[in-house]
Amino acid sequence: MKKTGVLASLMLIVALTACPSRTNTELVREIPPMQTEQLELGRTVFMENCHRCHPWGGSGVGFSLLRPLPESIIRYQVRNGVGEMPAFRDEQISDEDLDALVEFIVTLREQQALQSQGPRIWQARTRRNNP
Amino acid sequence: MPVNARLLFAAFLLLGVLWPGGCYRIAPSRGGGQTDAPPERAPDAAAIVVPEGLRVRVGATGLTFPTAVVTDEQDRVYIVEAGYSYGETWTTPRVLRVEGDGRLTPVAAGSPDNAPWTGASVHDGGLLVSAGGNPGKILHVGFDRRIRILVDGLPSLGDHFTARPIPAADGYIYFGQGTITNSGVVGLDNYDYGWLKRHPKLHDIACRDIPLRDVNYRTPNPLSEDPDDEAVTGPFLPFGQAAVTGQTAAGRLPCSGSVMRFRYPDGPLELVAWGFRNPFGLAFAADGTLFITDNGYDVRGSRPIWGAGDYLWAVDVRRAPVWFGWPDFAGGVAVNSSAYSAPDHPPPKLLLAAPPAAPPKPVVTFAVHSSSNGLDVSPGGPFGDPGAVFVAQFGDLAPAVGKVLSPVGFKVVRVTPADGTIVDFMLNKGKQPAPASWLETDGLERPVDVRFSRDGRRLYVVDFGIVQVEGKTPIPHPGSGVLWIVEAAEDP
Repeated sequence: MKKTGVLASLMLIVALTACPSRTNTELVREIPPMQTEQLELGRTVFMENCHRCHPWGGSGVGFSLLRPLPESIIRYQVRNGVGEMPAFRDEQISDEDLDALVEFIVTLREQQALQSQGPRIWQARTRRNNP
Repeated sequence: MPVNARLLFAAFLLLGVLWPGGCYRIAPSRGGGQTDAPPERAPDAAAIVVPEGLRVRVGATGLTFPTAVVTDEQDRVYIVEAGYSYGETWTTPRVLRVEGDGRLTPVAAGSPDNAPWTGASVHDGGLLVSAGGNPGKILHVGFDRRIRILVDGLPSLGDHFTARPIPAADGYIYFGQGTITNSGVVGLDNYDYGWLKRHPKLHDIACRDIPLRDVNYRTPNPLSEDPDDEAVTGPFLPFGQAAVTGQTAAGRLPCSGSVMRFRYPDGPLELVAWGFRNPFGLAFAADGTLFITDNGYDVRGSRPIWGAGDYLWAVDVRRAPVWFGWPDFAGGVAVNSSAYSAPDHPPPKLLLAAPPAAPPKPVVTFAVHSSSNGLDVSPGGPFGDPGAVFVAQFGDLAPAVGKVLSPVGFKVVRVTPADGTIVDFMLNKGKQPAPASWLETDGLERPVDVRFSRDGRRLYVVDFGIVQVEGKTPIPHPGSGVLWIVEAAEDP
């Protein structure tokens, strides 16, 4: 019983400390344009589906995506949702688009290294379908 | 490592990865207005960043609830002060001319019961002004101080108001009209906003006849002296009036959530497009496309909708009126899905028996609660490609509109409609995008409008000033508004 209590407390502490930072969205002066078609596609998918809750990968309505999550976990969260985040079925984000999205998010995270004061110039592209 | 230890480690890892969902429930809201604001504001352009080759300077200070900026044929600058702010704070709506040294010269003033004045354009020896209240109007405010009412009786007494009138090459004046409610149903949020008590019969007005589902919402009745009294309210109906099977919302003009037009000065109203929520900003591109910023749903009231962004729409005004989705779609997607469910709420029910048409997709979707408002189309020059759309993002009013985990908005962004590119254009230096009062600097607070000078060398940015939010109540700070000027760094 005592062992279970300690275990539960430990898990609670781990869980609470796992809450991601809400203020880790540094501004970066310039981020190079996407180098590959895959990243261009990933950016498109991100802007259509993720940006509104995670502006530029940072936190807004949703938590920051710029945490060091394994790619498999990103895929799992997109397909299954987590917390308030809805699941995105393959009719919404195809497997091909998901591959590109994951690559884009990983690139977004890596480019945090360019943090400095200045406006961010992420090129946000969406597919148009206007009247 | 023993098997049990490995399992335990895996469990910890999984918990750590998946816990953010749980964190959302327990995390407090951290909106841009949830801060201790300084008693006085000392605007400093050095606290703001813009792209290289441009610089920022202060054009005017001490403004009270400014909402619009325009320039006349001589490139003189005029500011519109709303005379009202969320938070039920009324002052006097007025037009001010900004002199070269930053002094403010009053040009004309309205009555507080005609506030808020939310947008303007220069036309025919004065300003066309959208006046929000009692009821909504389009005014012509002459430089000779004479005020004429061009359009009256607009449904502008609720959550959202009449929006920026703009003259077009086709001879019409176009303007936006926001909805009365968040998502079609009058509820307790409207009592909190203050207007339900003043106007208990108010409700949204459809632009066309639309058959409704018999969906109703039961709430306490704050209008009753009986504390146990309840009200049942249906869509497009007054508070306390239920919808019945087979009911149709009768369409008429003027209507809620629309863009309308009239021939200057006194032509009849015509519908241009409908199904918007709060079409705050309107601007024509050189090719005649009408761009509209539209504030998306909030997480409030009887029918809260979670996770809906703000939108930039493109409208072809030569076509028959197109329906853009309110109150059943967000960004072209039906809201009756878990993606739009507020925490602890089922997915929103659809209100319309059938959508009038499949709504289009937006040009771009801005961040949820960014309050993307005034806009203008770039003439090119130092501001990049001609045709880019610059949008002022007022920033969130969390938690009154819903929870955010970090401030959202509080900057100016640039959109290239041709390929849907968005660029952050003007924002505060600091750890993250946020208002100056949040960052404890002297930069931007809440950009609400942008306009280019006639020569295209300057961008005027209207900063509404400090608005704190305590619980459900916005607390605006009169006199804290600023006019910022962005211009080429090499200009004299």
